[in-house]
Amino acid sequence: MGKYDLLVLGGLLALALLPPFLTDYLERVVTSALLLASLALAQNVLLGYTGYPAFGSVAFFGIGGYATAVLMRDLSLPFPVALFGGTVLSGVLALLIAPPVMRLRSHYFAITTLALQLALGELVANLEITGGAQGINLPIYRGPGGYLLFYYLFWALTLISFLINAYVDRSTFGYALKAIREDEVAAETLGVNTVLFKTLSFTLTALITGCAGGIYAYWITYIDPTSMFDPVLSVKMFVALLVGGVGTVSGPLLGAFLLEVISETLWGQFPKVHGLILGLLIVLIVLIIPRGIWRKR
Amino acid sequence: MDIVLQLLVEALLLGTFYAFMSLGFSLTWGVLNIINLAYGSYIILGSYLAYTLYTSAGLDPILSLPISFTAGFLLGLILQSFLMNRVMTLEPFMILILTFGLDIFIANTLNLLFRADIRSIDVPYAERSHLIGPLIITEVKAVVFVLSLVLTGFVYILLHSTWTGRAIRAVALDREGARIVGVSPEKVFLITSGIGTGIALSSGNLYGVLQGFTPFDGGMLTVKAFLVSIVGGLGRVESALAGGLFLGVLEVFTGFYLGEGWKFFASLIAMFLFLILRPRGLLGGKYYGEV
Repeated sequence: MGKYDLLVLGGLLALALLPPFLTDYLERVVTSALLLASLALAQNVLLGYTGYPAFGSVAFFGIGGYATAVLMRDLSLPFPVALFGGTVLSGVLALLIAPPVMRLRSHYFAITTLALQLALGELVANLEITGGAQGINLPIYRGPGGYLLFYYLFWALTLISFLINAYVDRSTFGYALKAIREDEVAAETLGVNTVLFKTLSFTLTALITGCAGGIYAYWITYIDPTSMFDPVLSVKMFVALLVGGVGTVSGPLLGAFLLEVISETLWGQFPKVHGLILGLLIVLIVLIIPRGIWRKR
Repeated sequence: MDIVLQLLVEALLLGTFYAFMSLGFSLTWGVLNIINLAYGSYIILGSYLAYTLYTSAGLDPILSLPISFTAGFLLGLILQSFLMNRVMTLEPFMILILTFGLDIFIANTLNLLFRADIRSIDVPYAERSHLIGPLIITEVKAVVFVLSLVLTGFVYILLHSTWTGRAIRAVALDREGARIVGVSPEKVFLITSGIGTGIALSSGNLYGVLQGFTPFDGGMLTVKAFLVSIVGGLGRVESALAGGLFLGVLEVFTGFYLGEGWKFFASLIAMFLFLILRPRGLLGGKYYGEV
C-alpha cells in the first residue's frame, strides 16, 4: 500500500464517524456509493489484478440477494445466517463455473459471464421458489439503528474488500494473479497453477459481490429479477472502476464515490432524462479517460 | 405430427428473419472485431422510424426499407468516424462498455420520444392468414420471410461479386495483407459499419411488422444477433442462415413445449454453452474477430 492508499484508507475509516452529520438523503447516497465501491473493488481483484473482465459478475449479486431472501422467507433464518448462506452459495457456484469459463479471455470471457447473468435473471423470473417475475418481499428491519445498519454493513464490506485488494497488491498470491494478467502462458511455464489462481480470484470476486447482494436485498426489502440481475449495474460498476483506475487499490473506491456524486447531482437536476445522461456519461468516460484518473505506478 | 411440421415451418420463417437481422452484427464483429451491444437498439430505432413514417405519412414499412437502410448507413458512418475509430485500439472489452452506454442512451432517448408503451405497425395484412394443406401461414410472417431471404441474397451478392465485398472479406481475413494489396482497412471499416447499421435499421422495419416493440427491447435482440453469429461463425452469410435457423427452432420449440417465458432463457443458455464449448461456431472460422 502506497502513501496515498493509506490516506484513502484513512478517509474510508473516517466514514464510520460520518452518519451523525448526514441527512437521511445523504446517508442513502453514501450507502449507495459504498455498495458500488464494494462491487468495483470486488471486480478489481479479477479485472485489475488477474486481467479477466467479468462483465456479468452482478450474477453473484443476484444469487447472493435471492439466496438471502429465500432463506429468510422459507426457512425463517435470521438475517446474518441467511446472508452467510447467500455469500457461501455465491462462492461455491463461482468455484464450480470458473474453470470452464476462464478458459476464455478478454471480451469472450466478458460476454460469457454477461450471458450467465442474464440467464440467471430469466431463470429466477420463471421459477416459483423465487417468486417469478413478481419477486420477493423481505421483512423490514426494525431493530436498533434502523437504516444505519445498512450503512455500516456496506461500510464494513467495502473496508474488507479494500484490505483484500491491498493484500492482493503486495502478496505472493497477488503476484501470481498479476503474472497471469501479464502473460498467462509464461506464468504457467514458471510453475504458477493458473487454473487454481484464476478460480480463487473469481471466487473472491463472487464472495464479495454475493455478500453485497444479500445486504442490498435486506436494505431494499423488495427484490425482483430485473433489479437483482440488472446489466446497468454491471456497467456502472465497470465505469466506477474505469474512472478510478483499474488495478490500483484506491482507484475503485474513489471512482465509485465520484460516479455516485456525479450521477446523484445530475439525477436531481434532470430526473426525466437520467437514463439518457447515464448512457452519455458512460460513452464520454470511455472516450476521455479510458485509463482512469488513478494511474498505475 | 402435424404440429411438429407447423412448428418447423414457423421456425423456418422466423429463423430466416433472424439470419438477416443478425448479418450486420456478425459482419461488424467479423471485420472490425467490434461486439456491438447497441446493435439491438439500432434495430428498434429502425422499428420506430418505420412506425413514424407509417403513422405520419402512411408509408408502408416495406416501402420504407430503403429509407431505413440509408438512415442506418449514415448513422453507421457517423458512429464509426466519431466514436468507434477512437476506441478500436483499446482493450476489446472497453468497446463492450462503450456500446452498452450507447445502448442505454438510444433506449432512453426513444423512451423519452415515444414513451414505454408497446407500439406496433398495424399494416392491413397484419391479421390475414392462409391455409396451405395442413399448415396455417400468417401473411405477415410469409412476407417477412420472403423479404429477409431476398435481402440476405443481396448481402451475399454484395460480399461475393463486388469489389467492395471482396475488400471487406479480405480485411476480415487479414488486415495487413489487405493493406499490402492496396485495400485500405480504414475505408472498409467505415463501409462495413455503414452496411451493418443499415441492415440493423432495415431489419427493424420487418421486426416492427412481425410484433410489438418497446424502446427497451434492444438488449434482447442483441443477444439473439449474438447467438446467431456464434452458432455459425462470423461474417458469412451462410453461417448467419444456419445460426438463424438454429435460433428459430430453439425459440419456436421451447415456446411451444415449455412456455413463452422460457424462450429467452433457452437462447441465453445456448449462447453460454456455445461460448464455452464452440466459440468458433459450428462451421469453424478464421476471421479476424474470432479467437
